[in-house]
Parts: sequence; C-alpha cells; structure tokens
Amino acid sequence: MKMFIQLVIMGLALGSIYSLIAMGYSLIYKASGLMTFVQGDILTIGAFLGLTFYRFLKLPYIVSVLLTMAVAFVIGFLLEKGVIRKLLNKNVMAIYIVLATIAVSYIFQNGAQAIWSSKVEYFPTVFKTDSISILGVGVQPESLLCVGASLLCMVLLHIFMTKTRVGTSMRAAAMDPMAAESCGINVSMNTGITWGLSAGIAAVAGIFIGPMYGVYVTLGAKIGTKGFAGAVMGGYGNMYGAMVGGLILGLVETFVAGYISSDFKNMFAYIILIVFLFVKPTGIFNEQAIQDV
Amino acid sequence: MKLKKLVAVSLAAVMALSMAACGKKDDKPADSTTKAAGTEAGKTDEGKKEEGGSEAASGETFKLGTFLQLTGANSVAGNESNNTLDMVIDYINEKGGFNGAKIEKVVYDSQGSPEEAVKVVSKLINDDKVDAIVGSVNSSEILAAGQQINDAGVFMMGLGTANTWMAEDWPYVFRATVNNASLATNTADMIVEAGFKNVAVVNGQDDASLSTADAFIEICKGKDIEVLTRETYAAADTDFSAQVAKIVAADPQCVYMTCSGEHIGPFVKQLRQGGYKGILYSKEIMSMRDANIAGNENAKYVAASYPYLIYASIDDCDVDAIKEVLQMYEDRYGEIPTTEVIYRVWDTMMVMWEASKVAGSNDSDALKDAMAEVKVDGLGGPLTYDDGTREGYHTSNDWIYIGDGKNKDYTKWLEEDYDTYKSDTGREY
Repeated sequence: MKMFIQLVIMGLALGSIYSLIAMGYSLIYKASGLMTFVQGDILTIGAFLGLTFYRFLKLPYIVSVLLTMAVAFVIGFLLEKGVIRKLLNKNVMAIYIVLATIAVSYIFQNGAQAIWSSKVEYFPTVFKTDSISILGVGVQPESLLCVGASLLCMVLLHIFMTKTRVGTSMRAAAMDPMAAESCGINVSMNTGITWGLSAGIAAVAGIFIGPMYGVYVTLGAKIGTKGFAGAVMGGYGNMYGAMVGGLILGLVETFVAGYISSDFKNMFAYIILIVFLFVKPTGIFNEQAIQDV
Repeated sequence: MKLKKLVAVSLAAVMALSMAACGKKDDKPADSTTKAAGTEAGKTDEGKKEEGGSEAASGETFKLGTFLQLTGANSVAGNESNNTLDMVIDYINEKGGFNGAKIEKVVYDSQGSPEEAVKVVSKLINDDKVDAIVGSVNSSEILAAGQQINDAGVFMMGLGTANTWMAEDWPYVFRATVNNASLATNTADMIVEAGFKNVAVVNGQDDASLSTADAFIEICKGKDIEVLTRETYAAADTDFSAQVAKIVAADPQCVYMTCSGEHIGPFVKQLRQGGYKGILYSKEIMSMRDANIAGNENAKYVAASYPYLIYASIDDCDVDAIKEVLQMYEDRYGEIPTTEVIYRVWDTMMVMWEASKVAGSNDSDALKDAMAEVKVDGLGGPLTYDDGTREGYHTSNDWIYIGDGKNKDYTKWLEEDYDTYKSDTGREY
C-alpha cells in the first residue's frame, strides 16, 4: 500500500511538470494555431537562467524566479518576432514553422552549452527541509511546488484566455487572423505575447526542477516530448486538458515502472500518445480547436 | 484531420532532421592538425609498413588520433579528456616526444554516438592516417569502432571502463583505466565485508552501466548475495521516482547503482528523499559535483571501489603524483576537473610513452609487442601488461563518501564509524 501511495504522489508530481510544458504547447496552439518543439529547451534555458540569478548572482529566490520568467518571456517573444513571424509573413506552410522550431531547439541546446558549458550544475535547494512526508511517503518539496505552479498556471491561463480582452483577442487572432486584423486586433503582437507567455511557463518549470535533477543542456529534451504527449492526450489547445493529460502521463509512467518494469515506462507513454492520435485526437477534453474544419 | 496531419508531418520532420544531423555533420577535425614538412601523412598504412616504420619513425611527428564526446549532455568527460590530452601531449613533447617525434593530435567529436564514432574513426584511419588512437571515454563508442581500429592494425588505448570491448579479441587495443567488471567483484566483496546478504540494483542503459550491472549480478550469485530487485532507466530520464519506490518497497540491506554522468546526483537525491538511507554502492567514485546535486547529507554513505579519488580541491589531495597532475591542469585551465578522466588520460599517455621507449619505435606493431614489458606507476597504482589481458590496472582501493567532499577507506570506516552510521540512519544494516 505504501508503494502505491508513493507511486501516486510521485506520478502526480512528475505529471505536473509535464503539465507545465503541455500548457505552453496548448497556449501557443490555442492562440496562434501553431505548433512548436522548443518548449523543452526553453525549460532548460529557464533552469540555467534561474541557476545564474540564484546561485551565481546570489539574488533572492523569488527575484530569480521573476527575472527568469521575464527573460524567458523576452526570448519567446523575440523567437516569434524574429523567426516565426518572418516565416508567417512569407506565407510558408505550417510544416516550415515546425521545422524552424526544431532548428531553434538545437540552437538553444548548443547555445546553452556554449554559455554555461556541458557540466552538470547543481541548483541549491530553496527549502530548509530536503523531504516532506505525506501519508508516510517522502516527497521532494520542489515536486509540490511544481504541482502548485501547474494548478495556478492552469487556472490563470484559462481566465486569461477566456475572461480578459487580450486573451479573447488572442483567440480571435488564432481563429481568423485577417478578420481579427480588420477588427483592430494586433495579431502579430498577440502572437508574440503568446509565445512569450509559453516560454515563461516553461522557464518556471525549469527553475523549479533544477534542484531536483541538476541543470544540464539536455535537461528539457525528454520532458519536452512528454509534455507534448500530455497536451495531445488532454486535448491540444485546452489548458485543463494540458493539466489532466500531463498528470495522466506522469501516473502511467510511474505505475508502469512500479508494477510492470522500468524498462517499459517510456514505451507505454508513447503508445498512449499513438492510441490517442488514432482513437481520440481531440483529447480527453474534446478540444474544439483541433476538430476537423 | 488537422492535428493528425500536423503531428504526422512534424514527427517525420523530427526524424528527418535527426538523420540529417547524424549524416551531415561537419567532418573536419575539431582540432585540425597541420601536416609537418617531411611527414608521410599522405601515404597509406601499407606504404608505411612496407618502409618498415611509421610516419613518426621518419623523423617529425607522431600523429595521435582521438575521438571524444565533445558535445551533448555527458560531454564534460570528453571535454576534460581533451583538455588533459593537450596538457599531457605538451608535457611529453617538452621531454622529447615519442622517440624524438613530436605528438600531433587529431580530434573528432563522436557526440556520444556509436555510429558517429565509427565514422570518425574511419576518417582517422583512412584520411588522417594516424599512428595511434586514444579514446573514447564512452565505452559504447569503443565497442562500435574498435573492430576497425584493430583490423587496420592501429595501436589503440581505450579510455572507457566497460568490460565489453576489452572482452573482444582485439590485440591492438589496450587499456590503462579500470575494468568495471573487476571493480564489480571488489564491490561485491565490500558488500560481503559489511555482512549484507541482499541488494537492490539500478543501472543505466549505456554500455558501461549495463554491462557492469550484468557482471555484478553474476558475481553476486557466487557470493550468496540475493538481488531483490533490478531497476533500469533510459539515457534521457530525469525522474527515478518509480524505481525508487520499488527499491524502497523491496527493503534491501544495500543498493548497488551503475549510473553515470548527469544521473548520479539526481538518482542519489531521489533515492534518499524516497526513504532509503542505507549504504549505496556505486560503480563510480562520488565527485563533488554529484555530491552537490545530491546534497551533502544525501551523498553520504556512497561507497565504491576505485583506484583513485576525485577531490574538491588540490589541497584535499594527499597523493603527490595526483596533486602534481591536478596542479598542472589548474595552471593551464584555471580550475581542476570535475571528473576522474584526467587520471585515465594521464595514465594512458604515460603507458603509451613507455611502450614507445620499450619498443624503440612508434610503429603500431612495435608498440603492441612492447606492451608486455611496460611497467608504469599509475596515478591509482601499478600498471602492468604481462598477463595477456591487455588491462593495466589489477588493483583498486575501496572508499566510502563521508560528506564535505571527503572519502574514507572503507574497511577503516566499517571498523570505526559503522555503528555511528546505524544510529544516525536508524537502520539495522
């Protein structure tokens, strides 16, 4: 029973990390109709930025988190303006946007190595205690931080996208850019903000998991693909779906590793992705943004 | 369906780009050599052998090829090896080189990929026409590329620690680093010495980690140590919570891990946070870097059998020979290395240098034949090759990490501190 409880808690903690990444994917798709493969690498950049602010520059943790988010927002915004928007202005096919993000992903990885080196860096823990006991199970406090951050981001993003003027204009811009432009919406600016927000969320995940896993150049590679799988499972473009999809993926992984074999945990995660793509591509939340048109 | 199409095309694009990345890398050496006047760099191996000597024997240079992982997640070991090679080559060249021939290095980035290793080794042999090869610290790369090096009759010294590639019948391939399978035997002896009867095993999927865990489990059978559970993880994994849960549920008396690179610190940390406080035997010695990631308290009681230690600072080192080498590295690069590959590379080059002296020639066949007579005081003990195994190290030392960057002799620790450990951790074992 103790192992079951431990797997549930660990699965939720892991899933919440995937959820944060999945939300970034969903936000970009929801607001701009575009796909990106750079979220995992922005998580890595976020971890390195947090490391720089918190450990190297010795800034307070909360200041480091805010600065990391701000810098990541700028990176995401500039990525949209400098690469994505330029390609969109050329009326290229969507696949070229995807290819561009893959290229940027490699650039970010190598850039991180050039700036911070290939060494694994330790991120000092921000909590006084190393482990918190929940139902008799030891849990990393950073894991709980990720769970809390995921829930908060999910709610805030949903409110932002549905209840605010900017969020509504973002959705309008994604649904029909030309009509949105004619209504006075600055589509380009909206898309840029979306990419910035997504980058900020991924960077938060990076700074939170740094103390758990250490910081290195491929930290976000696998997490990025898992986050993508979580987003698809939940319903690509749906914030609640991203959260639920990420959590389910985290739970499946830990339970497969716990009760079947750790050899198969990644295989099962991707099998589930394939199953969803075949059986229910609109995901658990039947996201309208990705239904046939 | 919009999403299906987009995802299918995207995945195809990822695959295409990955393949392109593998196949279209810049094939130029990362550190191109300049061909010295009078060398025979353009000649074929057959041509060299017909003339009864190597390029170096004709007077000018000894072309040393190397392949190392210089980019990617675990490239710190490759980069520190590369740095050490430059340092040792200068050291040897200042003292006259190999039989008067100055060593010239040609290095390629093998990217941690066996496929890439095969490709760049082919270039080293066929295009650069190197006189000998050193590399890689990744055993899987050596396992992939070793056959063609041996078949080409090029003298090679590997820097990896797995038992797999040295088990091949490759008479031109030698090693001056440790053999993990031998160390696994020592580790099993350490477990017996502590009186433990069972163990949980966790291993990575790289060649060194996997083969060492396999060897360890076989060794345990002969020593009446029961393996309660065996857990694995994939190369890009960051989360080990399920493996930790299973290990904790199995309630082993001790844990043996064959992790490497970026996984050591996070695994130790997650294992401790998951509730296991006991002794953790490792195939690798605990570095300060890994201890920092794991946390000082979590890193305590990680034990390993290894010839040498990794130090937090030069002042912590009490072995004069190692101190001297670390000082050379710090003088040159401004910091000491974070991994123990510096010792591997230093020992390797010293052995090769000695072989060239014994042979009186730099020809691969002469170097190979001279190895049986090579005796070098390595940084971790004596290196000898007279038993036909092509392995240099035949002894090791047993350590346990006691925190703050310090290791203690394992036997001494059992005698002096084991009871304190039990009371601190609340464990029976």
